Amino acid sequence: MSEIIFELKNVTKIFGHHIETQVTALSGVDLKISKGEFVALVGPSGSGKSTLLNIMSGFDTPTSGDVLLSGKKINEISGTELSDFRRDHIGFIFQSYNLIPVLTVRENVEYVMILQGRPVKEREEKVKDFLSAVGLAGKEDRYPSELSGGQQQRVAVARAMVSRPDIVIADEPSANLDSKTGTALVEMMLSLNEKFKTTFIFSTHDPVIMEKARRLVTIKDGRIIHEKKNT
Amino acid sequence: MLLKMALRNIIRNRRRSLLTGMMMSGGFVFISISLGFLDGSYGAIISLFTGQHTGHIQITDKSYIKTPSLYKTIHNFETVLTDLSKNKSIRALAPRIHSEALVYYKSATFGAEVVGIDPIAEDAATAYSRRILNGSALSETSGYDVLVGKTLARVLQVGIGDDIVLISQGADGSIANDIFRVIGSVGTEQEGRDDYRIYMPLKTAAEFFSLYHQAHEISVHLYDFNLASRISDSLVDSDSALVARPWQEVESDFYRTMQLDRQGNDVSILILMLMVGIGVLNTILMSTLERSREFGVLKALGTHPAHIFFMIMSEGLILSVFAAALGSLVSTIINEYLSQSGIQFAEPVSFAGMKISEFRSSVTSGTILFPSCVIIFTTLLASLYPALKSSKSSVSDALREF
Ligand SMILES: Nc1ncnc2c1ncn2[C@@H]1O[C@H](COP(=O)(O)OP(=O)(O)OP(=O)(O)O)[C@@H](O)[C@H]1O
Ligand SMILES: [Mg+2]
Repeated sequence: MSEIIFELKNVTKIFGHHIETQVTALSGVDLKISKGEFVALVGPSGSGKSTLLNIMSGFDTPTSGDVLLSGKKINEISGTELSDFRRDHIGFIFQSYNLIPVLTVRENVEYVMILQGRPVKEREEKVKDFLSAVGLAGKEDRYPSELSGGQQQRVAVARAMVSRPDIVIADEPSANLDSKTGTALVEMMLSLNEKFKTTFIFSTHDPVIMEKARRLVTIKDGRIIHEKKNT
Repeated sequence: MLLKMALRNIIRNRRRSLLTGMMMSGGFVFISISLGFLDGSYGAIISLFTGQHTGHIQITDKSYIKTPSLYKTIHNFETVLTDLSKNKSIRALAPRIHSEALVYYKSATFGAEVVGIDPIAEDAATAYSRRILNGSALSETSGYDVLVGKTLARVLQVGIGDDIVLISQGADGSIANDIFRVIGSVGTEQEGRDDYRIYMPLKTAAEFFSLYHQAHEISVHLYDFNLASRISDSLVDSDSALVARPWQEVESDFYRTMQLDRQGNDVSILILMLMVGIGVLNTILMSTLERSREFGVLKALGTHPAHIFFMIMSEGLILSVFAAALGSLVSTIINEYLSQSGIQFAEPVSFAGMKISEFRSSVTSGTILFPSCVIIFTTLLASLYPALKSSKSSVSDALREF
């Protein structure tokens, strides 16, 4: 068994302060993710997928339980320490692409490396590598608005992977794309997962995409109810 | 990188940036022109007020200030004059003798203020000859000729060519009395200091009051009255018996009235600042609200909240600096034009006993510097809340899909 990089221990998330209006989005979730896994998180709407991914990302803190990434309890750090930890260990792909509109494709992809203070030369090389890995070589100087949705999401994949994070977290990365483009995107993510051994976890509603995942985690009413490994 | 993004964000939303910039520039121009007008009209009032009598700086014997008396004079004032005339800021110097005398004409008697003036120097300084209502000005050769204030002339019913008798006391204790010939009357349309005065040549006054080589006052007229308080101290040695006081001190009542008037105008500028500030707050708030998802992404990627704050503040700063530059250009042109041509009033406006019939703007560094500071400061203040709000907002809220 390979090394476990992500671990959730008995994580519970309750929204709302008043008893009457409280929503239990997650209750007692335990999850372990090993290095290099390609995990799909599925479940009906409102089941708690986004909540779980937000907690894994450090965007939200759990009401109780622990979240460990590379041995660090991220539910106990905050402020710039959390910012920097996220910058160095997690890559993100969002549902609605969310590229920075005022930055070119190149600048979007190298943004995290700029934050990390990597040298220009290294940045240039990596941007080139990853843009060709997602099939967008030659579009470095375009602005996001000049690209199609599928292309923008591929830029987002390059941006998430370029700094070689421990894990890439993606909440419904294909939801804004048509089925064919969405499937192609996830296939590309899978090939990058194989090529670079980057760990992925993403949520989806699309049965075709679920098929692609190596591991399928099903969640309902805030509990993991089913686990399945595809081979 | 953040600065680059700030700049591009301004360019991206060209119309809104332009609108905000225009609002800032508009506020700038308005403040600048009001200031220009204020400076210009206050300047006009000050030069009118000081130009006629006091001058911009008054030099006297130290003790003369508290209780002006015949004996408290500047000795050898000619030497003082020669020294002062080397100063490049000084436009004109007018030495004067001040005293009182009883005036007799036919059966009438009246107390008058006697002022001895150097006809040429005085005219260069205060252009007193322009205040002569009828008759002629004093000249070098005038001897026992005098000009009589208009009210005094009316009370005594003296006219040109009439002889009057003045009785007073000389500095040496002697009785001073002599016959003088009236060669004109002096004053302005309004009430003024000339009204109960008798002007005679300085030499004659020196003889009459036995004040040889002495004067009570040297009135200093500068090229720029704004320098008065700055250079007054340098005009006399601190250990000498003399003191040089700027007009703000000599005419402190007048100065206070003017300061009060100015404070009223400061309030209007404050209100304008508030209006510009609210407008800027509104647009910046809108533009940051619109981009809250973007800020969420930036934070998710690891950007520190402080950097988001810095980026939004930079946008405000860049925009306001541009607006200030544009505003400076426009208002300098307008102020320059107004300082040349001025705006005529339909009705003259009275201030401190003077009538002003024209508003002229003045162009000073203050009419650019002050509005620049105001606009930039107001913008930064208005950016503070949106910047703080955006930098503090939670990532999950910003990224939530609707
Ligand atoms: N900020 C919040 N405040 C209150 N309740 C919330 C909040 N975020 C999520 N919830 C609730 O938590 C539950 C789980 O929501 P979540 O968004 O995680 O579901 P999801 O599985 O991502 O759904 P979808 O498939 O529609 O994206 C829902 O009942 C939702 O209403
Ligand atoms: Mg969701």
